[in-house]
Amino acid sequence: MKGEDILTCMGLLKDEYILEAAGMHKQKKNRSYAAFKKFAAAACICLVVTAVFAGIRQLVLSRSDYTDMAMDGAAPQVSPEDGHDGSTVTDVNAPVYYSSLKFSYEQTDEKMPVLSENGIMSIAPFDESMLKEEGCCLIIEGIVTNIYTRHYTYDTYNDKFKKNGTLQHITDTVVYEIAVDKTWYGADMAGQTILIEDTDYFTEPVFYVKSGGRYVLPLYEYGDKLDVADDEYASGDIKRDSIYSTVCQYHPQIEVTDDGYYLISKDWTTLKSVNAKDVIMDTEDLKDSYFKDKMCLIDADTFAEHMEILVSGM
Amino acid sequence: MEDSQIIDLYWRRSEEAIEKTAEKYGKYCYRIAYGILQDRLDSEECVNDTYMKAWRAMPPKRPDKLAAFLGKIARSLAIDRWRKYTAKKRGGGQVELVLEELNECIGTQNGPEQAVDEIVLAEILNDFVGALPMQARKIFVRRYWYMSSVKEIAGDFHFTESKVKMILLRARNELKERLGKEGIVI
Repeated sequence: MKGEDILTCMGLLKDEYILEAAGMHKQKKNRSYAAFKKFAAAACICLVVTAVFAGIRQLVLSRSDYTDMAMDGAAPQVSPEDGHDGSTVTDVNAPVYYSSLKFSYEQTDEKMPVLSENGIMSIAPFDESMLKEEGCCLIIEGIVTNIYTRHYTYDTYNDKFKKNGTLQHITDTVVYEIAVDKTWYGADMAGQTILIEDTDYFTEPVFYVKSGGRYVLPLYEYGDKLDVADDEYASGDIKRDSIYSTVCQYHPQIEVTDDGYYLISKDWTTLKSVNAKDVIMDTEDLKDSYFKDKMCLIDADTFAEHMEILVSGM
Repeated sequence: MEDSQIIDLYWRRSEEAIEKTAEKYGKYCYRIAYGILQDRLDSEECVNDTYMKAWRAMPPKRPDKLAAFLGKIARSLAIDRWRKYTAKKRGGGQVELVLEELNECIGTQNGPEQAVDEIVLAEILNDFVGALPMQARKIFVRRYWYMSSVKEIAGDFHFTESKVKMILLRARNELKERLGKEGIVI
């Protein structure tokens, strides 16, 4: 036998291996969504006129401010002089349909509760620099084992209606219980179950953090007490269930498929690679969403390599 | 256009089939051919031959994965063309390097050269490749199916060239061991 025999027989390699190496293989079809049974009875009433979300900024989404995070791999020119045309087999985009991705949660029609109806809830463009700016102290990966809302009622001192008066605040937060099995950045939390308490969440259902789903979440230390904004705290329970909150809650979180691929938005400029595959968000509720053509899929090895690069700069 | 729609065009004998194939997979096929032939003109001719062969094959064929189907045709045609050039002392590029590397898996053979059953060897190769860790598998296939250069693979995977060479060396050693166990090499 000669090496040429191996070369020839490599021509009979299975299609899936050929396409996998080119980044063109499809995921197996099977999909299910989370159950939101816990949210069925959640109340969401705000009686106060001041903002109840600590740290929320009212910004206007300006799409013109976004740079379209087009996938790398625009057709480079062939340069036969150096025998290397610089193009890769991954330049050919065979995008993946979101509906073909496999996730471990149950489909549901139940809606997430509205945590606040105050103000104009607009979304600040995400940028990886937010990790540093928001004081990201942890990036963990794990499975959401429970989701519930926390209800707070407290008073602050306020002279608005009468001297030495108080103002009552009612607010809700959403708490995620996560069984962590990997820490990408920060103190090792692998093997622990932690709580993350967010004052808001991204309001497009397909991007909800769902019970049973696996996510990669960047966290910062919010603190153990609810932020009562500029008022002086008077009375009531403001002790949070968790000191941690998610960095940039108004943005699709990184989600992991059952077969270990990472679904990310393309504004993760370091995590996104030339091997990333476009994901067509073929869900009805994302028709007008900004993110409908901004999602991509990365394999586990590539994600790990790029995450290492990202955290090395933090 | 979806692959199934492109295949339908072939079955309907519509000339648009070639146009749509070129649009979607022309660059992919060119890349495969160029990796072997290292010549723009030859690679373009090879890609055109690929379209012709696909036109003759469909119908009756209706491939599950059109990209892989076309890629295999392009690779086979490019290797045939390369063999002609080698006979005429032409060519260059990755194929010679790849063959040198694959010859390591054969080792030194004592006695007459063994004929090998292609189907058996292909089965062993598929099994071997399938058992590799995903990253090693992708790199192995990029090197020995796509004939990508080590430099190119390193760039795409964001590795150093040394790391890619090490991964390939380990894979070849494992393949050599496997071929030995199967009695294909001694």
